[in-house]
Amino acid sequence: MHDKAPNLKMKILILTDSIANPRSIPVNSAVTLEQTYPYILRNIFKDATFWQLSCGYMTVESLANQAIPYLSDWQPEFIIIHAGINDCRPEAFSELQKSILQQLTGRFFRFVKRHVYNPRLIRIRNKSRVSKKSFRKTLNKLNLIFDTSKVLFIEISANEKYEAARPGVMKKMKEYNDIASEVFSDGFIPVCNSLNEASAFNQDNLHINSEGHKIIAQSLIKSITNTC
Amino acid sequence: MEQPENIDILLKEIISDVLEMSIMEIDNSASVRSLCNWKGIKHRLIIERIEKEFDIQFSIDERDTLISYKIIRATIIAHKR
Repeated sequence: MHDKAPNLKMKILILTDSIANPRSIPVNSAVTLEQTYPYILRNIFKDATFWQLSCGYMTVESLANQAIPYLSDWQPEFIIIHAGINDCRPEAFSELQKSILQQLTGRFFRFVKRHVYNPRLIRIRNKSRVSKKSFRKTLNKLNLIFDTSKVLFIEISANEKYEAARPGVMKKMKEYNDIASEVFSDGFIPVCNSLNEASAFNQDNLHINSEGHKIIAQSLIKSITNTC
Repeated sequence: MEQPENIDILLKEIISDVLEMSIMEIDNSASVRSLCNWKGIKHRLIIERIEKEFDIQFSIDERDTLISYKIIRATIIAHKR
């Protein structure tokens, strides 16, 4: 795969939550920086200029709010978005409610925390940090502002076992993926099945191991070279 | 949903009115960098007038992104869809 990719002068913006970052834990599925797919892309497209924002727990909306004012004039040829699980996954409490609970309980929050992430409570409350309407709004906005860029949206993915920790997450993922696929159409990159078939999720059933990074890198290289 | 042309007209009216400039001076590349008086309290006034005239509410984080005509226009359209 490495020999076939052309050296193209282009600008690539990568917006992700923690999923594109290296990980040292769990040890048996640790991922080094060199094994992450953004790093693999840098090695393949050596003439390209990259700008990457990968930050844990961030929603697509918060990533977009960073990219829009700083990078809208940069006009990248490609924008890779790999986030959305933080937008859609079911929660028992909203961010505001969590913050209030934390303020009220102080150092005793660690005792309350297990209830905040209690699967039964999550199933009952079933809140998402970002509504479907707001998620769609953000994607539409990105499309309009970066109107000369090709957006590649990587499917929001998790192993089915993640359902035990976050009841209802599979349904939510499908709903939000449907929105992304509608907004970006041919820029939507399905990866969930390949990741599951290759056992590419780590023990938290959410983040990916080095094999997962390879799979995503291959999908992106294919999409970018087919578009150029 | 409002037509993009109508959004253009109203948006340019708001910006030119707050900045006390001719509407002809507000083009699609207008931004806080290109127009020297688009800053401070006038920027806040522009945002508040847009929210009122288009009947939308920007989030606090979103407000920080509204630094050019193109971004504001896209944000309004995205809100209205």
